Amino acid sequence: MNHPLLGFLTAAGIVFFGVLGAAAYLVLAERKLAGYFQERYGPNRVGPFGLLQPLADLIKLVFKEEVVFPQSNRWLYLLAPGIIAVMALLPLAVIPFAPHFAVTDINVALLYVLAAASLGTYGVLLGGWASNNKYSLIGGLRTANQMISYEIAMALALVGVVLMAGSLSLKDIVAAQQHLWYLIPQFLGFVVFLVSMFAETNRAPFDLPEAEAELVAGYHTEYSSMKFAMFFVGEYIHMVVAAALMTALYLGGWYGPWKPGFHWFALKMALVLYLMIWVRWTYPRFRFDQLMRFGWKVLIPLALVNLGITGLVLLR
Amino acid sequence: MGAYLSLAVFVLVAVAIALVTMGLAIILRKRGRPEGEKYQNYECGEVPQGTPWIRFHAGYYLVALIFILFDVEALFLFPWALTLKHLGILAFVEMTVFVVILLLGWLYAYKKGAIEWV
Amino acid sequence: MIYFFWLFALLALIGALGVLLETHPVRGALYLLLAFLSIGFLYILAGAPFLGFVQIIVYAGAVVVLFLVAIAVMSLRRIPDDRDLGPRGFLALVFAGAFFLVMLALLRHAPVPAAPTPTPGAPQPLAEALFRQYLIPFEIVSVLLLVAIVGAIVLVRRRPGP
Repeated sequence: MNHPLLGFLTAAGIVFFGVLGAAAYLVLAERKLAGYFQERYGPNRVGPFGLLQPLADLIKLVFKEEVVFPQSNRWLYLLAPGIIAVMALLPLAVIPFAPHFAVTDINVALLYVLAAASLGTYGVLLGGWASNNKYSLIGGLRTANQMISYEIAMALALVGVVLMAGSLSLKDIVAAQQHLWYLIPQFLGFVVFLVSMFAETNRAPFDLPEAEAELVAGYHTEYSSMKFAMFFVGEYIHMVVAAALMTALYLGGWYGPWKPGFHWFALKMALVLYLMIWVRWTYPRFRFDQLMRFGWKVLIPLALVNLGITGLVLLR
Repeated sequence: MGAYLSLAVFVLVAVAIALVTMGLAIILRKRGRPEGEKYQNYECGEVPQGTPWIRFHAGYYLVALIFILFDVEALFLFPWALTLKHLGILAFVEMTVFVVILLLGWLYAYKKGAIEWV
Repeated sequence: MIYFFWLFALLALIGALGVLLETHPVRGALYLLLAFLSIGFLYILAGAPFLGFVQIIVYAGAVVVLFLVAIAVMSLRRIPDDRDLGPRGFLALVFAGAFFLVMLALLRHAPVPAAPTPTPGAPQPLAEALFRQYLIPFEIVSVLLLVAIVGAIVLVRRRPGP
């Protein structure tokens, strides 16, 4: 009993620190890349190439004044950012980062991931509701609607992967891709999953909830200091998790042309993250009606078509 | 069951991380004085007008309702996907009937403009 | 393991009581969330993780979201507190108490089946039962869902307004 417990704790520690660090540096990477895309330098004052910027940001945020508005609902107001950060962290428990490295493995891992995604909606709804601010409430409601609509598309895309692999465990799914990444046989599903991931992480071109031109900052308008940081870091953890899921589900996980291992997983994750940043700084934002129409009339039917084709090919 | 126990511990650690970071900020924060307008809700620098509790468009509710139904459908698809190879073409036909019946509902929503958002 | 059972059973009860006693709609919905989540965990404890996660996704992740959206759409701020126990309330209490006692008596005399194996079951047997043995109920579920969609749209449909 002693040995597996120790192994579990080490694995959990590595994953938590790794992902929190990755999220912090992802913020820097995004700002740097945004700078290059717009022909400016990005942060370059704190440390060499701005490498200490995340640390500086953290220190600044921790020492900020804590503001809880008297007219907001105190406990729910404090609970909301916590929910966002925790729900973003949860899927990490079942992601296999390397052939023999995952915090734990359960035989319904994909459902667990979906459950965490569906509970994340509460952070947004409660944050918007508890702030007692018009922008927050409208932003919260919109986000909730967006997240639930694209959650269905995401779930339907996942069913295609389950059909191919015959298992809900991410470890088995990666193992099934040793010879052929699901990117190729599940290309339609991959596209649906990719698009719904942008929407689930609330990133451009689906960053309607915080559309600054119309809603100030959406559901986190009234949040400051560490509470704001939780929303912010939650979004970046969400990105890391999304990239990890994409890698494990469609890009062959730890497999690569040579020796399989964590390096392939990390490389693929980095590419997916680069894609997400690239898209954000390239495309304009959708309108809310366009977003809903796209989700319900294009993505969901597309995912079902993908399922039908996959099923027929498998039974052939 | 061991895997679920580890999962539970993982969840607790995640919660602890959130609590510690937010608690740290509460300990280290700068203490300010509540001054008149400082604690008012933000409304583009103006004094807030009225209440945020307007009635929202019923479309939000409708989308949430249709979402539940499609969520249930998607969850029925998971066990189906797990055993399709084993159960063969019959299960495929069964699921096609199931999905087609639900798609009738989708078509109805489409025709009635329920997923149209204007 | 039994301690976990008591923990989640207690949480489920607290959630249920909270739904009944809370007059604040959003907090009431959160109590409901607590109850649904605890029941999901109980399923997992009973060796049915698939059902447990389905419970969490559908009830905790979707139904309560619907309630919160409904609260916002109707702009409910507080449920009027009219819980004074008149004669009808008294009668309701008596009947509820009697029902509780009957259930308790039944439970004590009912043959208790052996506790299910605490090993987490795989979802495959569930699927086979669903698509072979319970095929007709499964297909009827789709009709039920269809009726629900149509009903929702008819209820909410935009009337030609002013």
